[in-house]
Amino acid sequence: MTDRLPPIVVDARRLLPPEPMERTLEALDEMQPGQEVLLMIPRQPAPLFDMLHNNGYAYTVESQPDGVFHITIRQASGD
Amino acid sequence: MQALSFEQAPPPSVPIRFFLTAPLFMLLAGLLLLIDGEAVMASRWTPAALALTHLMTAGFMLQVMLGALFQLMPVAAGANLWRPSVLALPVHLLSAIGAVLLVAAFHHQIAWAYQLAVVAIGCSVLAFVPAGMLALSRPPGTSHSLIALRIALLAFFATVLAGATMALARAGLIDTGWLRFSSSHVALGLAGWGCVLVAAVGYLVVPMFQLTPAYPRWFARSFAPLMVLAIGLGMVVLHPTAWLPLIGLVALFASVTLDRQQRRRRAKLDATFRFWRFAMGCVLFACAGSVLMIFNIGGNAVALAVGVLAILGGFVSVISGMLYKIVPFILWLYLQPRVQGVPPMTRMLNEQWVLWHLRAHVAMIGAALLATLWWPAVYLVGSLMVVSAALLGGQLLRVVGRARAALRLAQPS
Repeated sequence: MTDRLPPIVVDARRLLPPEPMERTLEALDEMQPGQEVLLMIPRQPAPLFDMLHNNGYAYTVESQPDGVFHITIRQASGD
Repeated sequence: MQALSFEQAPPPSVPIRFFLTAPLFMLLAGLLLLIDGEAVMASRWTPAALALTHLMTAGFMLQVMLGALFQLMPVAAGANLWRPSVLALPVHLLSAIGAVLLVAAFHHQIAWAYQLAVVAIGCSVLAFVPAGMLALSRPPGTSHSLIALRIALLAFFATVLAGATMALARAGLIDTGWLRFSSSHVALGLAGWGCVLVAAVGYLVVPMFQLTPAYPRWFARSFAPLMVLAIGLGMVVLHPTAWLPLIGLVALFASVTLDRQQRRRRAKLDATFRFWRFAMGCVLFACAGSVLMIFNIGGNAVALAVGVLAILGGFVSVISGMLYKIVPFILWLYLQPRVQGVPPMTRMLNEQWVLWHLRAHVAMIGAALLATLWWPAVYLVGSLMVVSAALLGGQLLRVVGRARAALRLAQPS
């Protein structure tokens, strides 16, 4: 069993655009190999998806009952 | 919540050329008030008052609305315009020159200026509206914003058609009987084109930039189509009370927006939030004033106050608040993949100066309402309008300058 680092959490539920993207990009810079970034945001951030797609990141989107989206981001090559 | 796709966005120069032109019209409006204020406040039908109204509507508002459509149609509705960079140039130049000619025509009663204004604005509309409708007909979706954008664009066409007919009547080319279209022209322009476009944009940007819940589904689905019916009713039934349903719908939009704002998820209020809240309050008072007008209560002062509250209080507030969010955001998104260490968007604007603009703007509306009763206050309105235009234009230029500097640093020639 490998010890995985806990995800870096970016709570953007009360942040105005583009602060969620700014903070997520900072978190991606700090992310260690195998680690994930968990972004919590009240909308589907299309500009971030475009950026992740263009920069070799993979992500999953989970819609929560309270209308918040949990977006889990990792390096695509680490899959 | 509906997603936006910024990969479809046009180059930032496309919307920003319109956004940077708009404050110049506000500046001209302020100067007109300082020069010819007494005539403006005498009646809404004086040449000076008509010139001022069209500096704000065909000048300031139209520039921002066209720029916003170039940006939002592809981003919000997936409606890609044909070569937006090529299309934007003639649409921008012709609409801006046409607005200046129209204002000159109203102010000095010049027949040839009316005719040239009709040609310039007409060509601009004939270039933009078919391209816009074609783009809006392609996306298969039936999103509320898409439907509202289609309705707004058709209302824009009808507004200009009615306006052009009246301009030609004023130029003496056709019968003056056509001037009876003025109520329809106002309803089509302010409600069908203006308010429906604000709603189409608001469904997206209010939840996104003000952290509010989405507009209720029942409202977003039915508002724009009901506006069409209400405008149609007012135009067909030749009795002033037939406009009451339209006034009720506009008041409903303002109330729903205020309710969304009340339910925001963030305690801190920024300038955009305050501009929008102030706008919706003004719209509610404008609606109340419109009802008084319909029943012939209050005379000229109420008619002028409704114009002040709807155009300056409603549209100019909403537009100012939106520009302060959307211009830095468009530029930030453009810079982000191109420049290492993009400056944070919040630092592109000087929030203190934006708040000073808000204060000057609110004081301007207060002074304008006072001027409907005591006309010398119009000089204060003119001064505050010049200050507002300088603050808005100055902040927008600052943001553009910062973006250009960041690009220059990233791409040394």
